[in-house]
Amino acid sequence: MQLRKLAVAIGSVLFTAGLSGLSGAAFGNTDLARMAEDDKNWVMQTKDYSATHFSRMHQINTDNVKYLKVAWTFSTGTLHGHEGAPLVADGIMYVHTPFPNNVYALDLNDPGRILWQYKPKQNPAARAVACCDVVNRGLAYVPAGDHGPAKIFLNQLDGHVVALNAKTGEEIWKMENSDIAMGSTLTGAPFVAKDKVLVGSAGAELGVRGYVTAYNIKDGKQQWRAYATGPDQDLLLDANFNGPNPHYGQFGLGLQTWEGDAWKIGGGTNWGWYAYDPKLDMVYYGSGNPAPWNETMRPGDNKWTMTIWGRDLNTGKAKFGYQKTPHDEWDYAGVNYMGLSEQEVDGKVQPLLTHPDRNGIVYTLNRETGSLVNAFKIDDTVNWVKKVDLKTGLPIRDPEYATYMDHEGKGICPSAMGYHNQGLESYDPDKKLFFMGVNHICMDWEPFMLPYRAGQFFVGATLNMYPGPKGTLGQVKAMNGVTGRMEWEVPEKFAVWGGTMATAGNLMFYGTLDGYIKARDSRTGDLLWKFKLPSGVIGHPITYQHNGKQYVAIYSGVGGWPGVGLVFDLKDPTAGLGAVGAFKELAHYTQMGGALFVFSL
Amino acid sequence: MRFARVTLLVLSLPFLGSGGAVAAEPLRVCAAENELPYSDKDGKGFENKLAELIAGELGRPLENVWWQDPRYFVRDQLDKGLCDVVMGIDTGDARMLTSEPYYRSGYVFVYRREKGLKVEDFDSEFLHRAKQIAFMPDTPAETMLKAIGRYNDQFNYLQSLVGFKARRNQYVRYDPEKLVNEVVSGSADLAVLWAPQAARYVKEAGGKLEMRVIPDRQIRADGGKVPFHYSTSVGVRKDEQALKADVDRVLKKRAKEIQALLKVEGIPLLPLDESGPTAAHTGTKKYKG
Repeated sequence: MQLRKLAVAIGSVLFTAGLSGLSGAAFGNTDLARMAEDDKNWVMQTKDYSATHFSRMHQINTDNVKYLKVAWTFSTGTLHGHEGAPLVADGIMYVHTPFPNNVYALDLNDPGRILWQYKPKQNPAARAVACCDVVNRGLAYVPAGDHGPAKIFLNQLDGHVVALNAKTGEEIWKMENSDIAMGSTLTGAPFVAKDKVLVGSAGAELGVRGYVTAYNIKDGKQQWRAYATGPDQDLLLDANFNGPNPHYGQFGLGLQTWEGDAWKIGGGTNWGWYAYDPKLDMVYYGSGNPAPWNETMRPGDNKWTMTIWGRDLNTGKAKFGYQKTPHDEWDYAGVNYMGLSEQEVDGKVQPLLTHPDRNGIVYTLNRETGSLVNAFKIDDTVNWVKKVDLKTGLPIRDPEYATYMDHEGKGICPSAMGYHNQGLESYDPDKKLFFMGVNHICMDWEPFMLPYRAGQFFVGATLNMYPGPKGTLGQVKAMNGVTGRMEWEVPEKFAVWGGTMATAGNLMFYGTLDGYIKARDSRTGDLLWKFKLPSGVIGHPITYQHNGKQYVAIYSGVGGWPGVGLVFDLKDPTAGLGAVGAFKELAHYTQMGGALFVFSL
Repeated sequence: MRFARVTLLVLSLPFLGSGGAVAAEPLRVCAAENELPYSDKDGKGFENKLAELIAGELGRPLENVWWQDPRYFVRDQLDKGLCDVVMGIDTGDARMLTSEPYYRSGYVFVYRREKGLKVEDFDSEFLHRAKQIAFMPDTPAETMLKAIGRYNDQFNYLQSLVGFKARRNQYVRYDPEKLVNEVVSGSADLAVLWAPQAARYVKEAGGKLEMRVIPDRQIRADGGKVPFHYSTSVGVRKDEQALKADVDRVLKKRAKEIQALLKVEGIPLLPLDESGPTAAHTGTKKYKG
């Protein structure tokens, strides 16, 4: 049965392979890449190695999307925020949940029955360590091969990485990647390329020194680990690191840009998304904010936190690193989406990487050299920075919107949540447009240093977050990553937290915090269809095909950082790092509850 | 403005000062609901007892006005007139009028008693040998641990003491009893705490622990002095001269009992006339509230 299905899948790969630009030589994981090219499947959180999150299917299109209706549903049995999306591989759907990180396999021929389920026993202490709800951004998959049977990879909140037999749900191996006793958790999704599964880290707030690790998919053996701070050998720098752009900084800076040994607790974790270029054999991701949060405690640029990394997949060696926000003062953790595209720049088609950063700037780089192609504001209300100097790569800051002791920062845009957070976005290669879910949230930053007794002071800052100058908390935009031109943009009442999905049916889909899944004409932004889900959305939609029919799937289940007020029943507007105030309206629109919704015509 | 208020107070002084005549007027004390060993709602803190003693001597019934967040009780309660008196304030705290100090104590090293082991100051070799060190963030202990290079490697441990609750936007309580018990259990080799906070729990450990006052001569990495000894007063609102005078009178009259109360608690007491800075002299740090 399974073999026959695979044969069919391969057949359709041959048919579509020409479109992909995958040219023979160096595929990531050949079988996985082929499966990803087949629009029946959705085998990576990012859909494909380029993270296009785009499907060539057009059975559902602008003409008929209004007839979309619920095909089937599934309760995840879990409350809290549902980030990420299910995977679909060879007729089986893999559903994951936030903590306790259960996994369910559903046969698409009979989705009413659970094929297998995996319920990990986790240290409940992990719940307390997670900063912003107990989210999980999804699973990774690899088909059967030299490494053995097809596998599902799960990152658990308590820091373990688990490989499961995709057919049976049996545990094949389990590794400890992060130690919750050190404040380190795992919330990001694993990412498979070649014989490796990449796993990040979380907990920068608590002084975790961030790293990314490559494990062998076969047995979980660690192949390399690259830190964000510290000595060059820990950072895994290539001999020609930043050779094409020495002004980004090169060697010794993981130590020199910190005072003393503060780099040891310097943060720079990565819990966001990856992309991979099989031709260059390079993997891309962003390291997050420096720690501790109080910037006065860590003078210097704090390299290499807040950095876009381009690393050789085999060795982990960094070819380039571009730090977007040197010495961060706002918590603009730069772990966001990495979207790969091939576009013409200066009369030449170049391999590009586009990254909408939490700091409100969209960066487009040549992903071979790391050279900046463009850096522009995702919205004209971004004010901490006047512009990015493309020659030096440095942000030109506006001191008015800085945060430091003795300075009350008013109306800082973006807020600590960023104009773009963990949303997984999409790219339509025909239109050369990225579709972006945007947070439109600003903040006041009021530092305090209050005496108590015996020389003890309470040092901190009170954050108040609220809708940005345009009046709503969210936006959706269609953007050219090279020119910075917005093809269209529409406001959303709440932040669009989870990201977007685009199709060749001239459609783009996304979910909203108040619980709508929406479809817009990707050419104009016109709203063509919406459906109210039981709970708000912080994950991203996917699409797949089964028995000749196109489906759209999405998780419903509010939570995450924007939902911390709901999840933990917080009332103080400054709680949840100010998120409670920004989203206090949300409780009037939606409540927790995890479910999967699947739509078809 | 200030003068006007003072004048008014002076006029009303005889009325207030006549003690017994206004016995019905309660003495409203701002006190922590849950900050043992200082104070708690059940009155188990040594400052609860001190407040009782002062109210008793003034012939006024004690009324506790509870707070939960030590960051804001001066701003939100004392300054707003919801209470009138605060126990256990650094002498010279710029936000208040502070009484004559009623005791002086210091930060202490707390460690398991061991033959021949004497942890004297931050130059002590033991400070480098100790695996885990329990301390309160944003205290002189933190400043010195930074100076000797033991802060960064203790950062994770520090967070673990409060279950990794981030302090950015909220008050996170570090429980002194827990910190002392970390040393008892062997989880930490050393605790650096303000003696009045630690004394009760060191005593409860029944001789297992050594508690040594840290000398007031600790020097920061940049050469500045880090005060480790502090004098303690009772605080009132800035314009409450008369109340301060009342309190001073009681503190003087009942000094022996107060000393006894602190001794029972196990607090090491330093001479009140010990020279050295108080909060008044170190109060260069700005604060908002």
